[in-house]
Amino acid sequence: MLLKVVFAGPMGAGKSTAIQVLSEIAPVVTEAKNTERFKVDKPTTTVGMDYGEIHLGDVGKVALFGVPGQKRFNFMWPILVKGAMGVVMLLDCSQSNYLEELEEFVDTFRQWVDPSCFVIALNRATEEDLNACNELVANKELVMPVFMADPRSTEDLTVLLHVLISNAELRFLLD
Amino acid sequence: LKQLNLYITDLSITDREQIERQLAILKPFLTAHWLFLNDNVSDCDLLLVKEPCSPNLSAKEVVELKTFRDFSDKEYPFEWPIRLFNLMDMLNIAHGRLASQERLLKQQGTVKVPAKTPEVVQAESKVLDEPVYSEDQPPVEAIHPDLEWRSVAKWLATVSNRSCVYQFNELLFACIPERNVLITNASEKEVLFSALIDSSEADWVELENAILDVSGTEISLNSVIWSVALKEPEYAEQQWASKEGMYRLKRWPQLGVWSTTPAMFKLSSLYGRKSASIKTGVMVSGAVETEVALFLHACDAVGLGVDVVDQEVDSVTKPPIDASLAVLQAFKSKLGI
Repeated sequence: MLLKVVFAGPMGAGKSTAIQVLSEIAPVVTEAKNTERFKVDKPTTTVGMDYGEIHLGDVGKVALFGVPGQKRFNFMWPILVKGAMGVVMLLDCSQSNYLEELEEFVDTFRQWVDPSCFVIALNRATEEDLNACNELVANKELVMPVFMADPRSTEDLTVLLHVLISNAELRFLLD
Repeated sequence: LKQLNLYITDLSITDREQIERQLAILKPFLTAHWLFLNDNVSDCDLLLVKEPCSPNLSAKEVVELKTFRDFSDKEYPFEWPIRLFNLMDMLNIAHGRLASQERLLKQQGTVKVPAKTPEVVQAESKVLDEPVYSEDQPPVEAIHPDLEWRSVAKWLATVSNRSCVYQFNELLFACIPERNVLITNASEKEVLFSALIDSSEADWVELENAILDVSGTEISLNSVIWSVALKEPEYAEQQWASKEGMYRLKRWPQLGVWSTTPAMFKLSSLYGRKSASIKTGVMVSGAVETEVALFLHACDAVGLGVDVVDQEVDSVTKPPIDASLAVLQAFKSKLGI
């Protein structure tokens, strides 16, 4: 059986890094030269998708998808999140517009995924950023897990996946 | 139980009888055995002063009076006639303070027996409409369920809204709300946690003119409040487990950052998703009722917001045997959860 976990978020948030850390196969990446360095100063960016896997022995595997952050690729987002067990929404809080990005991603992804499948992960965040994001989510009358997380940290990523698993288990019980 | 002496100024015979009756009722709920003195005020451990304030009270005693707070963070003076539960609080607080002073003196290696400096509390001569005690009041056994356990975590959450410095024995902590941190001179944060858990708020004395630049261990305020709340089972049971309500979380706790158990993931998922009872929390998480109550108490103390909702039918049934759940279990095992 295949479980699908999607990493979404704007360019430079750390989606590709998270998949590289978690994947047990060499991640399939579609990095290309970043032509939007005025937005995020990184040499390459994901233009197709990132893909990684975690093997679960005989029972199946977990497919890790990273969706491209640029909005011009948003036609791919509903395709990639279809049937996902959960969506990790990564944000880089050092970017001045991270709250707008969060709002836009939450509003967009809610069209295709139940909010109970989300976890919001804040990279390079302070407690103030955390409170601001929680407030934004609360103003939308949503209750979503919001965590500070470093996409390079296996420990932090494990917490995010644990939240997604707990939410998925709850859906089995409640729905 | 340690014996301590109580003296109250300017009492009429009726007042005395009333206090003696109140002490008799409270006896099982007091942390020390309090003896009510008719005279010989020099032997008293707690001196309650009725207005007008005695002119020979020294300035030092007045300062001590300012630090004598009740559990709802109000400063005494107390009302007169004194209410049963106020008296109980006051006596237990006074015992806590006297015991901590004693421990401090022992730790400092003081050999001399200190001259007694009674706790001084001043009464307002406000006459209450309702009687303090009457024959109609329920017997002690019936009062017991209403006796409130106190939460140090909630007290900490209240005081940490402003810059402040508190001391208990040799431990200090300073709250810096702008940065949402607490700075302590404790060598490790666990030392402070233990001291907070083993004390009552009355043990902590606010240093009102202290300078805030205490150097030492810096800890997230919320993580301290969270950890302390998780060690208050009596309070949690009283406040949460005994209620019939349904609860809903407004924000998720910082799992993995604050002290976390596997059950907390499921409880966060449940109460973040819908309003549910403690019973449902028990069923979903596999935790016992007290753990669920502790989780809700900690969420509440740390300010995440826990809505109490009226009755709602739980739609949760027992977990179905499902292949997908088996995969999720395998995923958890893979992650070492």
